[in-house]
Amino acid sequence: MASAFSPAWPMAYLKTFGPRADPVTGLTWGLIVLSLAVIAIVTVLVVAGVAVRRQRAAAAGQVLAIGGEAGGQSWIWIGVALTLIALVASLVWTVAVMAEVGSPPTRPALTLQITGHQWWWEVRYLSADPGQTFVTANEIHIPVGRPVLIKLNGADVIHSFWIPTLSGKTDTIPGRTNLTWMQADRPGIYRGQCTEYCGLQHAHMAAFVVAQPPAAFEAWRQAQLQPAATPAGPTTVGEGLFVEHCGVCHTVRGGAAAGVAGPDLTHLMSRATLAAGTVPNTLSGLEGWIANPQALKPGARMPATDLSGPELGQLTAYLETLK
Amino acid sequence: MTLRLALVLLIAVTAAACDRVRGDSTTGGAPATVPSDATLNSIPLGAPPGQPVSVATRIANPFQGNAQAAAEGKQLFGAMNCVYCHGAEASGLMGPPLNNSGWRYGGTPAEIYRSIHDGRPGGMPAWGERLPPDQIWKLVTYLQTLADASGKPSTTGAQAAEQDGADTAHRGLIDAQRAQRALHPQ
Amino acid sequence: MSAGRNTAWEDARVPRTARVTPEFPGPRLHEIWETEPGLKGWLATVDHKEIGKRYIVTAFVFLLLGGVEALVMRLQLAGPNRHLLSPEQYDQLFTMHGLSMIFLYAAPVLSGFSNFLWPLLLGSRDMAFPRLNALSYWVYLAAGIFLYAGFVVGQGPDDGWFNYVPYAGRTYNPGINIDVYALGLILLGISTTVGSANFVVTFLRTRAPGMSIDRVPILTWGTLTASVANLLAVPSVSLAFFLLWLDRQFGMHFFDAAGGEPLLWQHLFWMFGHPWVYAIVLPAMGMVSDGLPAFCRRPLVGYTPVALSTVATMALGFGVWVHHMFATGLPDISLSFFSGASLIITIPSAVAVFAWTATIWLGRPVITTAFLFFASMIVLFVIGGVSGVMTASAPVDWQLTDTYFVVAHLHYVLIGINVFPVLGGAYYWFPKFTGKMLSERLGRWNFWTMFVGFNLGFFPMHLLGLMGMPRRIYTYPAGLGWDLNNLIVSLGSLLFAIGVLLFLINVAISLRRGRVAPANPWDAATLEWSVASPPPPYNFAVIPTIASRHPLWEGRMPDTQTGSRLDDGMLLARGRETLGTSALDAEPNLILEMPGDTFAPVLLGLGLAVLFTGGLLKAWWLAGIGGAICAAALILWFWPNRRHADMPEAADG
Repeated sequence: MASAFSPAWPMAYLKTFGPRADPVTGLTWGLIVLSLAVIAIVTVLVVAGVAVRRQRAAAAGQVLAIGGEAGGQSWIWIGVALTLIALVASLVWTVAVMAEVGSPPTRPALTLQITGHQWWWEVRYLSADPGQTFVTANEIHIPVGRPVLIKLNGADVIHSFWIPTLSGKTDTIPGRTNLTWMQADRPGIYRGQCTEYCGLQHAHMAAFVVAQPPAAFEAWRQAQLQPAATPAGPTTVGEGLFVEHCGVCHTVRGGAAAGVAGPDLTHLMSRATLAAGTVPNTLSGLEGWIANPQALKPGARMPATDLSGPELGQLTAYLETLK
Repeated sequence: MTLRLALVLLIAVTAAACDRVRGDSTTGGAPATVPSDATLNSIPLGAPPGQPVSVATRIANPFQGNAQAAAEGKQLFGAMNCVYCHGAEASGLMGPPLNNSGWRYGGTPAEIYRSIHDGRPGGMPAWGERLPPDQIWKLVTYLQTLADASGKPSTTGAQAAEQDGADTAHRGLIDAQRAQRALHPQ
Repeated sequence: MSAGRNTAWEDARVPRTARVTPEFPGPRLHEIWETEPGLKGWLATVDHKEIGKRYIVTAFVFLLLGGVEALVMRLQLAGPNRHLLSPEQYDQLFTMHGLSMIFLYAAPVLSGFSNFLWPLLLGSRDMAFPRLNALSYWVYLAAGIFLYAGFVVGQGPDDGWFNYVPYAGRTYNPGINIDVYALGLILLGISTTVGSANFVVTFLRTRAPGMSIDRVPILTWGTLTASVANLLAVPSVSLAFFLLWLDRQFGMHFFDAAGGEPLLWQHLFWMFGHPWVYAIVLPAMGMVSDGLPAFCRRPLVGYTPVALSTVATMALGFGVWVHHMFATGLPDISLSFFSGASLIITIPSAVAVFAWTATIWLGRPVITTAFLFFASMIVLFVIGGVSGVMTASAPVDWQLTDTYFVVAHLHYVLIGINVFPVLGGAYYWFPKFTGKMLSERLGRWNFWTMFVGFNLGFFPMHLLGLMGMPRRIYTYPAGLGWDLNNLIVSLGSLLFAIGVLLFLINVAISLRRGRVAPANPWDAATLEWSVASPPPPYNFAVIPTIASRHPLWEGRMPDTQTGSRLDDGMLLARGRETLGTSALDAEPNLILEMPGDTFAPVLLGLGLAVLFTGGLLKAWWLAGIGGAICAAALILWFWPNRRHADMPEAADG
């Protein structure tokens, strides 16, 4: 996906790419233009008022004379009337946009359950058939041009799920399920980030939506459904190390590791980043992250290990088989 | 699948513990009886300090005061990666110290047991899947020796049970209800 | 508590009237009202002017602390991936910055101005409850020190000023950090509550005869409205923090997800938080409404609509709290309602903006530093206002909320509508506070540095928000388009800080060798300018009688009523006395016997501080000592004091 489309300013939402966000973007632009106009008018009034009136007072030789109290009320009434018109227009537009983006235009292609954790996103692809359900983390693949329904939960504290180019924020609150939806009209990678302050690593809690043509998405989904390949040859040593050092927190489906405290790593190598966008998922990135996560993401729930250099190599060799 | 699981468990426990921890629960001394899962599950999760937790206080550590169990617990503490988060001698790292300050989730043996068995919020994973009960109790025994050495207020189940005395029947009922709520919030 | 002890004897007494001369009654009143010099007097004084100045100085100290915290954060954020601060440090810094600015600077500084100015504006010799006034200050000081004590030892609050649960719960925040915040804010709430009650009664009962409620300065409308709002809003936040403390320390379940409700916190907090935001701008808007006309050489346009809009803002302000919660998943119908309410609240603000603009256009502006601060505030207010309109629209807020756009908005509102008027007010009233003039020349440097620095530092935050930069992140990666704007913001905030420094330099120079101020250096219209600069301890030699909104401009304006009498009125010199008047028309109806200086307030403040420290440490013996000190202070407070009845009204005639 390296060559995939991605917005030039990944988090900017003045240009959006789907029907959940687009009407809001129009309204945002409308209010920005209105706001700039109001600022310009009032600034001109204040600056010009001071300049003009000082000049006239000086010309009339009445610099310190005191004026009467009457008059000027029409300024207030006209100003309030204009403000009211602008506000009512804003309100009508606002309600119209809310109605427009309130629910998906067509039946959702799939339903995801996204759970905010300190500090990563658990992404569960739901299905009526348990065999079609699987879990991944931080990277959300969706088919292009189809709405996706998202159920949001919080595992620990409140987070907020936000993919600016596709959809506004919705909080993930422990004990509640919030609903949102999104749709990408163009294949590409759309970045998002947690926006509700959630503790030490709130800054490193990115999420990515990968919108793919339906066929590519289906291929990806089928691959995700598969358990990890049984290791063979030298990678079995790595698997042993993984189970011993990592398995109580991480799951690799098809293996002995079934921890739920950290992200599911069954298809780790299909993801572009580690630790919710903190580190690129390259060999060196992986080794650096495992050797000392606390140096890269202080406070993260993953501890540094005491693996020797060769052991680290064996472990990453195993992890690289998790495609 | 079960075979793989058993195999890997064996690797994890034996290899990492340098052959000094044996899987046999009776070698660590002679526990009276290991409390049943049902009893342990009735301990509410997350009772704050200062709260009466009489269910927990009445469950004694089967290895209470057993030096060999404590030594094995210390081995496990290293072998099961506890040191990664809680530091050498449980002096604290990214996880809280377990040797010198108050217990976040209660310091009775049964509460410590549940913290290990079920995990706690903020990164502590559940070890119940990986460790048999007697090994968790040995870890508890080890942590209790650390706490005792530092003069940390830890309560042994037996002592607390004696202090508990007369009003247990009533409190036991309340605790049972609370435990029920804690375990089944919906 | 202290005022209004009108006995049958006093009802029957008809106060003597007198004309003021240099010899009479000033010296006698001086003797009655003067505070003893030295430490004893300093601790015991109940003089509203002294308390007001203390409030302002203390608030500025917290402003500087909060400002330094902000600068350290801006160093961290000046570029991507900087690691000057650890996440823990950054989180405590942004929390302390927020609570310092909002709770320990913005509200107390306005209390300071109002404390100093109210009796002078209203024609009274003190606030209605001078001892409560002193208590309010001491508790504020104690709460400020309490809140900073945790930070100093590395255990400062770290969940933002909004302090959302469950992160603020014991499970995710096991240290003492949040308990410091919880108890500190409850303590501060006591200060706010007694201060507010004092303002309300002072407004209703101690105005000079003839000063009906349509003749009071707008500043008093602002502070009155804010005080009523505080009385209604503070219980919500005090309750919320008390429940949180019970959750954390006694295992209750008000706010956790297992049996409690995390969203309940947000409702309780913002039911307080949003009215509070208006409470910390309305008095400052009042300062502009009163200060701007003095330099425009005409009265404010639209006194009545502006006064009513002040009250209307507050009334509506209680119905908009959900606009802080648009992303929490509430139903659309409720979002529509709160969107509508949040848009409509713009109307009263528009009244004020157009009234000020019209005042400039119908006046003859004289440019002074104070005028520059007041006039520029109009523009900053509008910028903060329109960005508020944008966030009021729920769908737009789904994008804007929790980004730097909101950071920009709230700083335009709080700096634009609080700091700029406060500095304008400082230039305007400094002569009254100290008897010295601030340098106008340094003042221009001060203004332009702050104005340029502020806009350079905060306007680009709008762009950062629109480019998706979330709030409260301690670092950010490169490549998201945020780098340049963040650098500009950091440089701008540095310039802004230099501007604040210039103000302090100006104050220091002026105190040392500033020009001596006459009673009315600006030729302004309101009552505070009729007394010497600084005012004598008794404020007014005789109680003035008021016939218009502009007592000092009477006879020089084409269309105002005349008949105010400032040098000829009731004497009230049998001990510390002032006049009580009726609530609406200010008809005199009783003599208020005012308390003397006393240690009770400072002792009660100390007792409360010890009590709360005991609670924080769960050291109940310490809490017991605190309670005992409080009890002793209250006994001292209510101990019957010697009456003035046997004192002659005046030594001579």
